[in-house]
Parts: sequence; structure tokens; C-alpha cells
Amino acid sequence: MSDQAVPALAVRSLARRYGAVEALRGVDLEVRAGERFCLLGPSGSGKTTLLRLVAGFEAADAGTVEIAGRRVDRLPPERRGVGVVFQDYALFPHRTVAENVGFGLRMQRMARARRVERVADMLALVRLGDLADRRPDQLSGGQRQRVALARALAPAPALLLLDEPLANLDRRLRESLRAEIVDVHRQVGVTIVLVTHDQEEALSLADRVGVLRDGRLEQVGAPVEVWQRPASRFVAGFLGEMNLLPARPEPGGRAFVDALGASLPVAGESPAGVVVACVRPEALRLERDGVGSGARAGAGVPGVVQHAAYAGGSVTYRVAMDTGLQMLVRAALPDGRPAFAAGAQVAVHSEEVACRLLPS
Amino acid sequence: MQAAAELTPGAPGAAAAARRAVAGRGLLLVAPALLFVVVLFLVPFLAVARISVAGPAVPGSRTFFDLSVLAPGNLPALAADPLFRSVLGVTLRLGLVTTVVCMAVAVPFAAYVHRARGWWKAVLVAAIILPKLVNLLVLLYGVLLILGNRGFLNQGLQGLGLVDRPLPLFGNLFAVVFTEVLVVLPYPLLVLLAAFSAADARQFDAARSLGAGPVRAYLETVIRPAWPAAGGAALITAVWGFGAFVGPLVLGNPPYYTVAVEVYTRALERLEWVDAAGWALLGVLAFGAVVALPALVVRRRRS
Repeated sequence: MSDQAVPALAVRSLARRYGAVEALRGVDLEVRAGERFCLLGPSGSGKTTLLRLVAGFEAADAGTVEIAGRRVDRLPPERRGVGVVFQDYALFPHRTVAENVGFGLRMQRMARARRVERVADMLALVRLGDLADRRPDQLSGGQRQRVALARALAPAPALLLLDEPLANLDRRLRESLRAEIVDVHRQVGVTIVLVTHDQEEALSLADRVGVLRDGRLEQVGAPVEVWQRPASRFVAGFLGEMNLLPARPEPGGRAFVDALGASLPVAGESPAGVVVACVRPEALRLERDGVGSGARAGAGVPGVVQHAAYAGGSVTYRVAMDTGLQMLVRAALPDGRPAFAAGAQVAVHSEEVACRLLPS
Repeated sequence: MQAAAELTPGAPGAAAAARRAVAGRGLLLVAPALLFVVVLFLVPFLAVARISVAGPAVPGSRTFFDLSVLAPGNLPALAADPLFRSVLGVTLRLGLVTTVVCMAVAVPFAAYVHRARGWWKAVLVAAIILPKLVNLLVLLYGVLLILGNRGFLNQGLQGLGLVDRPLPLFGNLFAVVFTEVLVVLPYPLLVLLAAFSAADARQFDAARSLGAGPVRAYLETVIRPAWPAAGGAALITAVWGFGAFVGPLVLGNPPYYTVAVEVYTRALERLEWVDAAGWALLGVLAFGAVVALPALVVRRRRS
């Protein structure tokens, strides 16, 4: 077994309950060395609990944690070699930026001269060299989070855990810090496990994503994989808007979707029993109803626009179908204006885009 | 309020008027406290200052001083008085010793209470506050029951054969400091407990993950940020310590009588109000100087 094959983090059958609440119900997970891994899930799914158990802030009720092949679940946090970045930064308020970053090095009893050098390197890494003597309360939120990142990286941890690191920042700052995390990761090469409830963050940052729900891992895979081939209705819904429509498998790798009055190609396997088709709003198209109705094949299914959610480059329509079903349809808007407003009579058409079938 | 005023064009006076209104309301908020300070501290203090330089009581008059006389020489004379100097020294020493002992007890105990959980924590907090609900004199006679010649402690020691005659546990510096600590301790404890409770548990976790053991992480993230509050707690303790009165009177003896005790005997037993006012005034000025000194040093170092 080569060194590369030893996972940076291996978690087996990890379980933790708080009174009557089972926060984690036996999670198995391997994170590869050098990887950026995102744990994605709604609040209460157990993602922060998992992170705290890996860091050693709490003890698991059952299961094991290995970091770079070494059992650590009985070790206190200070002996696990794990760096942690918290949502609310958790900087030491009475210490300067440089002292914060140097704290872990002092705990390692690194000689002063080397420490000063290392702190300067770390601050240069997050582009905060000129703020070394400030105190945390003199910094903006984004700067504080970069100090926290430098502080966690300074002792050269085997694993860097980030707990919702961008949740307290506004959207623009979030995007620039996301890029910064990727840059720092590229330079330092440390294995990163990032916890977030933001699917966009997970998909854009991660090499692989693990989706947690009710203390269980529902799916682990590359962003494209979990997006295109969700393993469950939950994953399909959590990763973005999705129409889940009853469907009947047909021979030839297709399925007939009644709600669309159309047959669609199927990606992957068809589960046995009653199934639903996952159809992204992007795979649907709206046209004016009644215009040449019946004149063409696949005239679409009639409905009424309930709401048009305009989002700059695109618009998402919520359409009430005559059958009582609600459907989401997204259209790119190259020239600006949504074609339909609430109340418009429309017909929903489906594109020839492969869909995934899931057990109903 | 201010913003609304600034949005009104062509009314330059409006903004200023609005600001004045806000300031006026601010004044309203301080008014009760201000009234309290003026009526209960400033006025009596000025009265004491005036009496301290008044003439002695005129025989047959109904007051214990003569305001028609202005005798500024009273104060330098008192300041040079060996008795005053020695009592002031005892009082300052007692206050400082009380402060040091209180803080040495309060910091670790507050840390213990802060880390306690559930019903045990409630018991501990109650134990801090409850003694304050007991009348001070009752508390002190309770202490006498413990420390007296026939108190529990001496009877226990004699019963065990460890000592053959009662240890002198009262009427000395130990007893006075013990009682003062007992009386004053709840104040620094509550201040410190509040400061410790403001600590962010995430910072503790962060320190642990950076390689600090539990003790080091606690010092770094709970004790250290509470430094300013500890300074405040020490100040409160010192002020109480300098004002020590009942403790020295009940459990001390004349060598441990403080400025407060001397003011009391002069004003209410001997009826020498001018002298009493002088003692009180110079005592307060001396305490003020001692208390202000460290605050000034800290401020200078910060800037």
C-alpha cells in the first residue's frame, strides 16, 4: 500500500447522540490526501457534529477516526494535528494578528526567530502582511476570516477543518474568499474538509461532496456526479431546484413522464417499482399556449404561470399545471426580459435531456 | 431621528434641533443617577469638607461645629498627627491585604464556578449571594462563634489534643482580614464570574486545536480576556477594604482600628465633628490617590 493510498481522514461507523437526538448514526467516510472535501447538509443534519468529533472537541459514542492512518479518536484535540477555522472566526481578541497566527507555533515551542518568519509567511499567504500589529476588532469580517485561516495553517496541520467559514460574510466577500481558499489550498496542499449548508459553495469549492441528512451520509461523489445523478430524492432537492415527476420506464432506456406528456431518455439505472423522474428546471421550456395548439407533435402541457422569479441572467417560472401539479421552469435570458408574467397561459415543453429515475 | 431631520431639505436648524432633542433625552436617562450622586454624595462630601475647616463647637450652641470660623490650618495639623498617620497606614495596609487575599481566592473560585454545570453551579452561585442576605452584624458574630476562644475551631483543636490552650484567632490581623474577605468576597466573585461567562467557547476550542492543553487554553481564552474586569473587581474590593468598619470594630482591637472606626468614634461618641470631618476628608483623598494610581499607570501604558 503506497503512501498516497492512505486516506487523510478515515471515519468509520461514527455515532453521536445528544439525549434523544441522534446527531450522527454511523457515518463512514474517507477523504483523500490533498483533497478539498465538502460536507453539505441542512442545519441539524450532523455536519458540524461530525467536524467536532474529528477535531476532538467532543467524544463519539461509537466508531473510529483516523488521520493519515493514525487512530486519533482517543486523543485530545491538541494532539490530533488538526487545524480548525470557525464560522465566527474565534480569534483571540486581546492578541494582535501576528500573535494569533503565532499561537500554535508557540504551543509547539518553535524558536522565536523561526516563529516570526513563519508568521510572516502565513500572513503573506493570506495577503495580510501589513496588518500584523492590528487587533481583531480593528479588522473587517473578511480579514478576520483570513487571519483565522492563517492561524489554523501556521502549525502545518495534517488536516484543515472549516466550519461554515463563509456564512457570516456578504455575498461578494464570500465569492472572493472562496477563490482565496482554493488558492491557499493550491499553494499549501493541505487536505481540507469544509462544512457548509450552501450547495453552491460546496459544488464550486469541492473536489468531492458528501451530502448529509439526519446524521447519515446520503451520497458521496464529485460535484458533477451528485448534481447529475443524485442518489435520493433528498439529494436531488437539496442540491438545487428539481422537478420530481411520476414516470413509467419504457424499453430502450427511456421513461414516459405523464406530467410532460413526453418520453425522456434515462441516465443510469432504472430502480424497480414505482419511480419518479428528476427533471431540472433548465430541461424545460415554456411557450405561449393555444398558439398552433395541436398543429405540431408534442404540443406541451398547458398551465398558468404563478410567479416569475427574475434573477438577472435567468428567470424561474413556477407553473401551476391543469393537473394540479406545480412545475419549475428556468429560462436563460440573453436579451433581458422574461417572456411571461404571472397569470400567463403557457405550455410546458421538455427538452431531449437525459433524466434520472429514483424510487418514488 | 437624526436621519429623518437630515432628510428634510431647507431646514438647516432641524438637524441641530433633533440632535439637541436626542442629547436632552440622554440627559433624562442619567438624571436619576446624577440626582443620586449629587444628593447623597456630592452635597454631603462638600458639607464634610466645609465642617473640617470649621471652628470647634461654641459652648451652649446646638451644633458640634462653628461655621462662622474658617480654619484651613486644621487639615495640615491633622495630616501631621502621628495617630492619624498610623491609623491611615493600618487602613491602607488592611485594604491592600484584603484586596490581595480576595483576588487570590476569587479568581480560582470564579473559574471553578464558571466551569461547574447544572444544579451544582446553581448551588455555588447561591453560596456566593446568600451571605449578602444576612445582616452584617449577625455574620460577624457568627464568625466570632467560629474563631472565638470557645469557638468551634478552638474547641475542635483542643478536643483533638492538637493545642492545649485556645489559639488567639480573633482580635488580630488574621481575624480582621478573614472577616473583611468574608464580607467583600461576593463582589469580586460576581464581577469575575460575569466576565468569565462572556468568554467564547469557540476560542477555547480554537486554542485546543492549536496545541494548547485544557489549562493553557482556559488561561488564554477565559482568564486572560477577563483581565480588565479583574482590575475592576480589585478596585471594588479595595474600596470596600479601605472602608472597613464593622470587621475591625467587632473582631479587631485598637491597633487594627481603621479610619472609618476613628471617624465613627469621633463623630458619634465624642461628638468632635470638626475632627471627624477632617479624618473623613483626608482619608477619602488618600484612598482616592491610592486607587487612582494604578488606573493612571495602566492608561499611560495603553496610549
